[in-house]
Amino acid sequence: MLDGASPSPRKRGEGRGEGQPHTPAQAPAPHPSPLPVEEWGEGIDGPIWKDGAFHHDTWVSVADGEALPEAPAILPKKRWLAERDTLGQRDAPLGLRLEPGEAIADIGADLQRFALIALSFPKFRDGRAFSTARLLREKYRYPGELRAVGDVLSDLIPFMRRVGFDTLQVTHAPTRRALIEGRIAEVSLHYQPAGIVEPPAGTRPWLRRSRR
Amino acid sequence: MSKTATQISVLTANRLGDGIVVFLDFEGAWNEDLEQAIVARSPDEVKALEDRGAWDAVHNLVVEPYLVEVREEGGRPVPIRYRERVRVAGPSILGDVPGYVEPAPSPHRSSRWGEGRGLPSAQAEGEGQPHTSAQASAPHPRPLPVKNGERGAGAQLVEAA
Amino acid sequence: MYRYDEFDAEFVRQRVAQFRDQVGRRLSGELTEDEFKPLRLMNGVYLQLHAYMLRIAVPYGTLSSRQLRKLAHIARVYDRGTGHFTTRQNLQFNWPRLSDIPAILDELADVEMHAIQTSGNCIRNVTADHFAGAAADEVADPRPYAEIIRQWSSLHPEFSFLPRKFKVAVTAAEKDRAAIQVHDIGLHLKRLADGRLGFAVYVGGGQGRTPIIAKLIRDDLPEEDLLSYLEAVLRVYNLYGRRDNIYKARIKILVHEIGAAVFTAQVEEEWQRIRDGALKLPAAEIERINAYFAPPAFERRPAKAALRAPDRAFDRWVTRNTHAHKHPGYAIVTISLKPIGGIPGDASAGQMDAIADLAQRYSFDEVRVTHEQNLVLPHVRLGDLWDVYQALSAIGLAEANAGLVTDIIACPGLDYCALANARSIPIAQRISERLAGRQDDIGDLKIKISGCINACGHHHVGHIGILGVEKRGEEHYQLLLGGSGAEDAALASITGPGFGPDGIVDAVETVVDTYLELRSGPEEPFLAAYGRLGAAPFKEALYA
Repeated sequence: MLDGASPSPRKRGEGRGEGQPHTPAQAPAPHPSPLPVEEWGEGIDGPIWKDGAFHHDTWVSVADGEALPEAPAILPKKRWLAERDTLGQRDAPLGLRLEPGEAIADIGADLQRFALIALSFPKFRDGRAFSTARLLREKYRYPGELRAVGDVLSDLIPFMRRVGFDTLQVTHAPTRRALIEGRIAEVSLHYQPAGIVEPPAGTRPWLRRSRR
Repeated sequence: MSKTATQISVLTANRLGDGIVVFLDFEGAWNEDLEQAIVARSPDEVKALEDRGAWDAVHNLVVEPYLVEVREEGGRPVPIRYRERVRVAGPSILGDVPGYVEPAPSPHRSSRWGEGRGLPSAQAEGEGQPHTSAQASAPHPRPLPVKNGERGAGAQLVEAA
Repeated sequence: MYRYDEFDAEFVRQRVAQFRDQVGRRLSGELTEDEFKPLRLMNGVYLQLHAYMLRIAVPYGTLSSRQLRKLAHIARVYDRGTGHFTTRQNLQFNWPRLSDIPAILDELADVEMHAIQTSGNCIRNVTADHFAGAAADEVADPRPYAEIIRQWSSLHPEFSFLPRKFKVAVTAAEKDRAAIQVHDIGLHLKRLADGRLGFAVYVGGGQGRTPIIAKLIRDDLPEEDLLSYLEAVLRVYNLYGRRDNIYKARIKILVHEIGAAVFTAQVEEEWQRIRDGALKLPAAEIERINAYFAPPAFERRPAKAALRAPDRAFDRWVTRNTHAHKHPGYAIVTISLKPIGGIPGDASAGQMDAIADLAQRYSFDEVRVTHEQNLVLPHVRLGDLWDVYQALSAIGLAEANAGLVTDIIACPGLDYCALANARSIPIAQRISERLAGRQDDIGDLKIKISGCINACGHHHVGHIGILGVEKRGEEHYQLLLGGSGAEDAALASITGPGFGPDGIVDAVETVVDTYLELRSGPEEPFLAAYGRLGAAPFKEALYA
């Protein structure tokens, strides 16, 4: 199982990733993308899109029951709540993973301890993490790395950027290609302020344009 | 889609490029004419239709394929469900639609695997000429439930000619 | 009306280019249907029963003649010569090819139109009173605020993947012609205690499977806080709205399940945090947008009508289809798109062109779409009414039935819609033909027909509502009575067992006959009589 792949149990036949069937029929069908699905692992570009390139993931997602490694480790919220009092001596950075629907109000004071917070998009239609990202940035002033994980697709990426995500974990092959080739089609003008600082676009109060 | 359909069924979908209602015909093409539809009469045949539909959907010929249960009246398939009869016949009130004109032939009318993989892209849209390719005569990976091109002639699954 | 500046024009151009890219990737197979569907929905592209459908945004129902002519042109060139005006003031084309849609969007961009966010789980077209800027009873024109909301909600990065669709309506009069109480957010523009403009905010109204009248959650929102308050409402909804069941995913369910008080507290808490932030509306911006909606140059003393021979049909039309204008010497004209026996809300390309000409010539270049599937010429000199009437007669759109029993609202129904269980248009046609002869006597009576539980025909707020269902594989219709979408908002009640396609027409006639028999006089309209009499005599007549 890929690091950081969606933790929510996927029904057979649903979801994305190499070899997952993607049609409504029961018969296995090839992945709809006509080009070969990239594999990653040792020596190949990793799944983390950051600063214009793909990188290996330096973080480890800690599974249930697994001991914390001596490496940057991402904990689900439940694990954090159970162990937070014992993690004070830890040297390696800590990360937090939040599923949509998990509150942050009860861990608001803890957020500064995380060098990374990963927000999950179990299905691209579930847009809760967009609001969570903005709250983390704007209400809690979270300064660390905000990462989008899960069903991260081309057409969501401009929105993710605008609400404050720094990095993306991308496993969808056409999206990876589009990122590498600089082909994410987006609208660079915006009618509203969002989470990040954007230069104004004209004199009307809320118009913004993308930074790049 | 019913896996254990014992009724006779046809496979319908909408063409990707223009959304028009089509049926899988006995030559494996997506045909606007229900009377040309291939009829599945056994669970194996139904499965073959479903597989074919799924494959063609994945390969961007059509969207949302599904089975329609039919009965035969005068040798022609008629959908059992009222909604499906409306879908086949078109809006019942078309005669009253102000200004309605019949369209010119659609550039998407050749919706068949083998005549190019899927449809021409939006940029390359021509006048709907099918691409000729070496694949035009290759067997479809999901064979139809027919024997030698006969329509509804039997339950054996063979490679389409 | 609002005019695009360079930013607006460039935004739409980029959005069209983005969608063209998405369509191309769909046609080539790089995007699956599952991935493409939310994207095409955000551009108003549906897959219906027979074909795709393109829903074009008509912001707060306002069109210029140039825009209407472009719609006629698109109907001719890319569709089948016809279009349908909807219950959300938009326009639908029923046969566009997916491969043509980028070109259609380019054509729309030329006249400052688009199909952005007319479907999908995002903030939809903001609708408004179709008499805005013309009616005497409004406090101020609500459309500048609708425009401000429209802009703020366009490609909002946080609110593009909501649990479900989100509909906002704005009105500015005590008489609610925008049905704000059955919207996700309804805004009533009014004067606050200190005399400044502000809003009463209603949240959680809606129809569909679970019709609910909205709750008033704040009665006195100052105008400068409009966007921050909306952002707080949307944020609470985005985070807490249900996503497990599409029939329970609207904000009305959230408000219902946690209670209006708890919901309001959450909104208010978030709002207090952000209200003084970037979304505070500067007075200068409100004024700037207001300027686009400045009243046209009305004549101080418009010429009166020329003397002519009496014409009873014209007189009926003036009585029925014109409404008092705030400026003396002018009238608001309703163009009924409900010819007797015709298809509610449909217009041919030729009719659209003719109406565009009328708007340009007689109505300061403006036409409106109403949520009751009619059109409006908002500013017509009394002296021009005769010419307008003649011109409408020539195109078959001079039926004097605004608000009468034949002014029926019907969704496209099973004739077009993949979601429908039954046809609604033929029912509307047959009721219209059956009752046309008595429509003046019957008086104000709103019939609304939906072909399925999604209630796009707004049957829950019809004086008479009809819901099409499927019963044992055949079309079947439930009858409801006593609803209203106006300021006296109420949900209609079902009468009892349903009827077949013939039976429902008879049933409606029975209800009408009962009303005529029992009303206190012609001055008591149906809804009032129903309120007085209750459902019992109607049920008795229907099921005895």
